Amino acid sequence: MKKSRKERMAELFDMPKEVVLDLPKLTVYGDSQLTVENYSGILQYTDEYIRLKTSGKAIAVSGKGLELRAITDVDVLIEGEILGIEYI
Amino acid sequence: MFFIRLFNYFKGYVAIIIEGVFPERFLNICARRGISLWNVKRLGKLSLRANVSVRGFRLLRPIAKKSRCGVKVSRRVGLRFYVHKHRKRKAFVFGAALFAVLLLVMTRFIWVIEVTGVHDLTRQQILEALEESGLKVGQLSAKINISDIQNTVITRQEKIAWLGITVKGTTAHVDVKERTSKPEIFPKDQPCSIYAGQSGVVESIEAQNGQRLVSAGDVVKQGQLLISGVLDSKTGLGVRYVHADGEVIARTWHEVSVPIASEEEVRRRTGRSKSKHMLKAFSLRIPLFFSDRVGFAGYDRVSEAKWLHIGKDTPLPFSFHYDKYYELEITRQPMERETAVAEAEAEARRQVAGIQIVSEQKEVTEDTVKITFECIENITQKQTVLREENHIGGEEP
Repeated sequence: MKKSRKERMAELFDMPKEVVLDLPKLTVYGDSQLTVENYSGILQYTDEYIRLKTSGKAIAVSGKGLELRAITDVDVLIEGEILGIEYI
Repeated sequence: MFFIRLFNYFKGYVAIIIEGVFPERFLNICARRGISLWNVKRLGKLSLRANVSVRGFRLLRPIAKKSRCGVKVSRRVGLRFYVHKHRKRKAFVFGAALFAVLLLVMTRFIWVIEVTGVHDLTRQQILEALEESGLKVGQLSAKINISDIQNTVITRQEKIAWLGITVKGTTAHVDVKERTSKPEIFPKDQPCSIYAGQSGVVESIEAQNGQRLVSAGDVVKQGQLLISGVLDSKTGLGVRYVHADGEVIARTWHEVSVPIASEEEVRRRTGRSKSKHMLKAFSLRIPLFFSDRVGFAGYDRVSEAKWLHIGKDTPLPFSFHYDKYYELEITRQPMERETAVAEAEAEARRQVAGIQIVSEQKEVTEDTVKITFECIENITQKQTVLREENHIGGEEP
């Protein structure tokens, strides 16, 4: 896949991509905690399945006993037993 | 995590239940409007549970309407709700307020004065001196002028050389430095002679000023003139008075006799004891016993006091005093001769403490211990020269 001009610029100047390219940034601790920064909305939330809207593909998190530990307008913190993270 | 919870408790929050077909929409709108939700949990198909701050909760109504969700309060958590709930209980509110006020007022006073560094003076003397100068128990700590008190106490009580006062909480620490009494010094500018303060045999004599009248090996009697401060004038006419100075080391003999005790007082606890407790608030004593009588002929008292504290340095004027009285049986018992002699000997030795002992001769009779100590000591003693009135300066060359 050819990189866009913006992406190349970001790499050239070592700038954080989630800011320049408006990409989601995921931080996962083991299988128990996931932080998604730069998301744009919650599409679906149940304790076994969460879908988050981002600028690109939606992020789907499957697991057991999922909770939204904290929600703000820029990030969301998911806790529970995470079984899978998918881009759809 | 604990601190976050504590912080949330002080700020207060509301646990809500959101019911609707599409509660995700509710969450999204909340996030977009800057209302943060935490601990969001799915309860069932149509309901979520979440926590929201009190400030955020007030903004939820339009959001609920827009997202077509119902919002119910399930629990209110926080200090403000607790206070709100109990605001109608007058006695409780009054008590809480009184507690706060008392705490604030009580910690503004000095309740304990700690004195350290006293040896010759008593604690009581120091406390009295402090009270005269304006530091006493029950004093407002803001009104204490430390340097003022230090100065007054030092000028009034001559035996105190230095006084350090530190006020910490409701405690005043007073550190006393006592003045060591100066040996009496004969004024340097006054003429004097040196006499023997003690009979003995002169070992060495060194006259820094004045005329030497004895030499090594001489036997001197107590009161004998050793170094004269009266000098013949250089012109040969009349005399000159000087301040005699010097050192006369002599071999002296001290005869000390101490009676040997035949009996001693033995104090033994009988095993019976009584306790008396007392509460003290300010200067009011509340005894927790009926009779003041101890009921023992002789007793040992062991006292303990516990103060009500807030923190380490902030005792309050409430204390619990615990006195325990142990009955004593005091009997006079014949003393063993060996120990009695040893004690008498120790006493004799105590009487010549500070003098260099060369040799000693012990003599033990039926009822006394006599020890003759041979010592080496400085026997000088300064005294004013006896003189005729006209001789001051007049005839000096």
